[in-house]
Amino acid sequence: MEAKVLDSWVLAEFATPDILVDATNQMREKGYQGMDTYSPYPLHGGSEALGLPPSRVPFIALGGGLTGMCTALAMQTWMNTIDYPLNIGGRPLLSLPAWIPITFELSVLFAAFGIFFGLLGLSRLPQPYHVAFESEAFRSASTHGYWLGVPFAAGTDSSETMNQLKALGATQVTIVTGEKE
Amino acid sequence: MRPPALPRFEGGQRLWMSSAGVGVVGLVATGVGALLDVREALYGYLFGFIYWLGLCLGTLLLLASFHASNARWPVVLRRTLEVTGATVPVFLVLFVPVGLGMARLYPWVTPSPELGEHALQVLAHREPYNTVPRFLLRAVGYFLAWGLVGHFLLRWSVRQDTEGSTRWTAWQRRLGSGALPVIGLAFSFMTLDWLMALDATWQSTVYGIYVYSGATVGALALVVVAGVATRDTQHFGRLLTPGHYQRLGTLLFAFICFWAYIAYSQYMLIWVASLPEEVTWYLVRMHGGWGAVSWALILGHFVLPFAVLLSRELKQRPRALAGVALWMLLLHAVDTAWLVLPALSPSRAHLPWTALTAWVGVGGCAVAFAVWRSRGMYPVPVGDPFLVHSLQVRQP
Repeated sequence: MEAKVLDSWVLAEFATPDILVDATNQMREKGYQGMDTYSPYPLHGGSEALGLPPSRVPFIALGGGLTGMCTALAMQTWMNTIDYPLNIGGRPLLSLPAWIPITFELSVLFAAFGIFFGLLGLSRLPQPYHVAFESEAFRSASTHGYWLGVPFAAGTDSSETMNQLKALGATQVTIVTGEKE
Repeated sequence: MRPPALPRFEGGQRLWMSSAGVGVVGLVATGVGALLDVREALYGYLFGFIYWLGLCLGTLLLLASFHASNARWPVVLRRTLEVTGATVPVFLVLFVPVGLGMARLYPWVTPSPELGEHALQVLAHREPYNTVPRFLLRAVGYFLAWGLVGHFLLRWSVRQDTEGSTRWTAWQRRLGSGALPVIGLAFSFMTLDWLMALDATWQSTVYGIYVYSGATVGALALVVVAGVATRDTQHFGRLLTPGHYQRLGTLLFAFICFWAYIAYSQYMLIWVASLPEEVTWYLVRMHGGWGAVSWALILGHFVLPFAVLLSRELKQRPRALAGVALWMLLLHAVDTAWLVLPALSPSRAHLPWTALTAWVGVGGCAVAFAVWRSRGMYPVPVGDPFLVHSLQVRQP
């Protein structure tokens, strides 16, 4: 049996999104890394406060779109021009104007797939279990609570982190430990 | 947060006087050109007229759409949209040469036997619609619709500056959304009457939307350029944030795609059906010099700006976005010329010099009128309850 890897977080709830973003900014400036925010709806300035790098989703989408475009052009040319040449009203066998609708649709479809699955992949979703779920109070993150999660190495002292979060206005601070997903 | 106190716009004296001067010189030069070659001059004039009228109406439709959608972020741009949309009276005056020259522009006025029997039959069938009095009456109707809507949207907004009552917001919302079908239909019929009729029999049901999409690209580009040009002045450009430019750039991107989508749809349907009376319009534009112009439009009006505007960062940088906007204003001129001028010389691409003088002439007069009209007004609608929202816009 493998040794279990333990994952430990300090979770802090804040009263309003503004206080949460403010606290996240200050914690980042103090050098904390790997933090995450949880709120019932998108936070304005949340990504900037966490210091997240620019999203890679646009490039995945672009790659998807280009893949779709090439696939569609190649597929239609192969099918209608080479494999089973179809004479439609005397038009050339390779008629790009006729290829455009399918090319457009596949580009959009693949770009959308790229965005959808790219986002899921980058966010490591679906995620049926996370250590934060160990805290009953954390359920408010999906209704009215604004939470900040700060990871700390198992076995180290987290009281300093907890005190700082309290000083930044956290209404409650709790520690969760569990198996890493 | 209180809106920053921008003073009323008192400058612009030199700008409107020099624009008016350039405009008059351009129009006089076009008039001289008409003495030399009246047909060329009329087509050139129609090109210049349609270009600037398109920008004016694109702006008006954009303004009405913003009202219809209760949009808050563009409030800071609105005075500029309102003033531009209220330049319709200039175009009523400038329409006179088109009205006078209609017999030389539109084949249906005096159909010549050279058109062939079929075309003559089609024109005879359309006679109840195509009569000179009805053509002129419709034109008056279009100008009345655009002019009244533009006038009241500006006037009520200006009233709110001093009175501050939210009643004026409600009135603008009602007029803006209620008038959209009317000014939209007037725009669509205008494109049939003044542009599509350049060809005796050619017809396309998506033509009005095509002209509209191009005009909206031009209108958005114009707003971006105006915003960047007034960045260091006491005008609205001073208040624009990267969030505003991002939104304007996104809209510009969307309408460039829409333009390409409509242009392709029209082409594809005609290409697939391959009907003799429909394909002529494209045949003229697919070969020789006009063919090169068509390729320039596909690449310059769609492919290039599409690729450039994909960048989110670029859309937030005012100067870079203004560069793209200037390029689109130029390509919109190519697009307008591509619609009008092949009717003048189908066999070879030809840009009469009167087209340039008319472009300068009509543009100078329209800009002069807009600047002159906006003197003494606040550069932004200071009484609008949503101005604060607009000023706080951030990047989405």
